[in-house]
Amino acid sequence: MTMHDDDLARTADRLADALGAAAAVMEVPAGSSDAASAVPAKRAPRSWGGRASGWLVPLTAAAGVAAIVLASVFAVAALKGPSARQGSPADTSTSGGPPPFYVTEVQAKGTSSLANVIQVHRTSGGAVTGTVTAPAGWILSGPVSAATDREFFAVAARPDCQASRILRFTLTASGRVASSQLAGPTIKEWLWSVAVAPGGSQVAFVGIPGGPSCSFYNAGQPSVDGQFIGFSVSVLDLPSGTIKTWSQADRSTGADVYATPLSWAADGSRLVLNYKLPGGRLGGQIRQMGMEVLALNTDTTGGSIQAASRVLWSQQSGPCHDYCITEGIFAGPGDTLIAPATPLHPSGDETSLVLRIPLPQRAGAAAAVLYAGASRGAPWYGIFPDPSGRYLLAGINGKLGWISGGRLIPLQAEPQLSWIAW
Amino acid sequence: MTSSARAPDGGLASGDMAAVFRAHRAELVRLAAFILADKGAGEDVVQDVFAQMHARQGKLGDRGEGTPADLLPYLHRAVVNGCRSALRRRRLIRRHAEHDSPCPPLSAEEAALLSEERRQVLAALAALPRRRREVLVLRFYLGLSEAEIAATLGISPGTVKSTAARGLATLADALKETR
Repeated sequence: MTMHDDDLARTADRLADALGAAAAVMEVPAGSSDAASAVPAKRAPRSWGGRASGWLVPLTAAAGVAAIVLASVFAVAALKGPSARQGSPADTSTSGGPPPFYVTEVQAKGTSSLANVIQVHRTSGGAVTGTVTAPAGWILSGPVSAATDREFFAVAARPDCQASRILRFTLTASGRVASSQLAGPTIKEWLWSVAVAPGGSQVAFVGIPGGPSCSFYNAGQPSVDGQFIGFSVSVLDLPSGTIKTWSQADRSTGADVYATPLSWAADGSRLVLNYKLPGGRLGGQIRQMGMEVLALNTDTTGGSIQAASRVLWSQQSGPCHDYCITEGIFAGPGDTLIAPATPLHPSGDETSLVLRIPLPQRAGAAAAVLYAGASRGAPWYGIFPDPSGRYLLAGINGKLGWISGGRLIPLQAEPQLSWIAW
Repeated sequence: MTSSARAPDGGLASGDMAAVFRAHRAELVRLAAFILADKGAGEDVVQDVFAQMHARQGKLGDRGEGTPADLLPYLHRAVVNGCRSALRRRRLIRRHAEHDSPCPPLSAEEAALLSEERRQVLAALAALPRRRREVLVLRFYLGLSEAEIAATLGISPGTVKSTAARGLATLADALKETR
């Protein structure tokens, strides 16, 4: 049978896609960084039906010491009864390390503010390994989300921001851009938040009408405490191009869906979104925002957000006690909520904190995974889990990094940063 | 690379070795796992490579692998050679409980996170002859060029091209049959 070039190219795409996805889910146990400690004195023969891994003994011992050190560091940062659970977000002791690349969307040099480019950075060292630009007739002015550590989705918008499409790009193992193409139908909204489901076949988004010059302010878009809000959330099925939409049941209540953030449970079964209840800051006093974090069952056909969701977290507007939760993101194996929060520092400064909250609510004490110190008006970008939910990228108090052992490990980015993802 | 990164005898310093280990171990394990269709065996191969590299510390450099930047192509070659040795051993020792996953080299839990289509691609890749699998994994997992693959495998770029084409054609046929 004669094989056409198209068939080979399609097979090559499928192979690259499958290898990238498999690499993303393949857990590689941490190894010792000291090669000497890993040298087996004398290797035992393989047993039938099982691996004889004599070299694992010193590795396991080294990993145990490392875990104790990490747990000690982590305990210092604990808020209430912290637990150094294995496999929890921001815990580096149980898997093969953070994603090899992260992407930033930044303003292209010497261009208008709407001409963004996406830069691919190597996590180790921050070097730029690839660049993605918008296809002709489109601009990059929206968020980026990762399906695997080699497959990313960005938002391409028309220059008037009245319509958007999904831009899918993939990376080679060395971080070069392997492919970049528009996917799915044109959506007659400006997509302000996107989250790719595990597996990469579904994209959740919150869309809002774009205003003149792609400005929210010119569009008169409502906002609460600096966060833009929408009234519905949608899921695009890329293979079929179909879109399902869930909307707020009753807009007269004053409750709305935050435009950010969206996140998926690791098994792809639930979409997590943040829902604002009436209330907020009053007179400069820090007050807890009335909000709910909802888990939306995306197997439903659309309709009412409330009817298709269950509440993961709920807080009423009022004074802060230990801390104020500002948003909730699903991350990590099992049901774990990652929540940026703002406790009040004894000095009176507003500080930033990242909490890990076991679910269901009140199932256990929240534990701090990062104290970021006083914000002093520095930019806040958010918390971005990797596709596995284990590693957290944080743009917090003007600093960019990933969270490990209670610390923010710095990452490089251009000053004019719009979006980050890994 | 600064001269301070070299050991006094001109070989690589142990700090460089540790840095290389940290930076590339996971990627090399996955490379070996894809070639062997067995993650555990892939871990063993990579560990052996690093153990041998450590034993040769101070001697590295006489074959163009004297700096951390030079080390990566050297490591790719070493891992591929280690995989070949492992495959030879595997022929001699038939393992009864070869895989507990329908999608080697992933565990059943990891495979469950992939779509059926991707699992079929990985299964078809695992069924390819060894040389074709090596070429396709180096090309489409590591993203190496034909010249880089040729240098890694010790074959000509033309052979890389033809092997890749034959491998993709076999894959395409296999995937059509599973539809």
